[in-house]
Amino acid sequence: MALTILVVDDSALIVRSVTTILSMNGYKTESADDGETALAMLKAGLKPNLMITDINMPIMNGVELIKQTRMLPAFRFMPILVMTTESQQTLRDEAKSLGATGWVVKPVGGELLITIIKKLLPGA
Amino acid sequence: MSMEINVSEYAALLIGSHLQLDAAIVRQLKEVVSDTEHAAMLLMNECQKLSDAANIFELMLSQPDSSQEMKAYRNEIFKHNHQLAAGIGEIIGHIQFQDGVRQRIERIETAIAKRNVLFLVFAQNLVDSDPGLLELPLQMREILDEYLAIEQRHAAVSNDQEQIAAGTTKFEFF
Repeated sequence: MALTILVVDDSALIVRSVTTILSMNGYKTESADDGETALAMLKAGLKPNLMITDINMPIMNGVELIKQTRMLPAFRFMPILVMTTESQQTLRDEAKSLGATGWVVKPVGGELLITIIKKLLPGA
Repeated sequence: MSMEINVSEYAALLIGSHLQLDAAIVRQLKEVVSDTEHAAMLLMNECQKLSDAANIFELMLSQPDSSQEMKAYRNEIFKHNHQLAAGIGEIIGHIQFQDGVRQRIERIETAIAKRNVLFLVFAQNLVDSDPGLLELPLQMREILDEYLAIEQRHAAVSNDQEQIAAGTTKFEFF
């Protein structure tokens, strides 16, 4: 059964790019264009195996999304990969302390993205 | 008095024309970005179709009733498909640079808009005895510093792998 990955980014281009790479590699994808929508999807019953999120988004940013997601018991251990153009160390540290699993700086090519995902989801 | 007003009006007009030029340049840049985003989306649609077609072909060749001759090509086709998928994946990854360019233009647009407000206030105050000439460079410097600080926080928008490698850690696991 295909693993599901939730992609959260306010850029339609990035969402399309990442979901295309993922679907080409056999993953099922869901997407949201801000943190609040993503959180609502999780609360509504979506059970992704991994969440990939941007940091700078309207309504609810990626840092807040990570924080809120980790407060949901069902998602305490779900891997969360931050994918952003931000390279600030303090922001990385904040995301890490809130429960992010990894950090990757955009742009991300297909090979690198799949390599990272396979490390985050062993056996995938 | 009338001479003062004429000079002020002329200065305000001059500043106004520069602001309009700035706005026009940013508008044109945004149009270019919008066009390339549309093109990138179309390209991704085609890449997806190409990948789907390759997968279907691979599936057809793997059917038990395929002829021996067809089966003989299977491994070769399989290999080609994976190379094709890897190539498409890299192209799609590079398309993400477009979004980085869009964000940079938006940051420039924000800085220009803030600077324009300063200029407009300055132009409106030209008729006053103190239009704030001494404060203007400092206020402009603050806007520039803020822009540069935000810009520095973001990764280099470049295809140059050496530049990326030198600038920041590409990825890390926590």
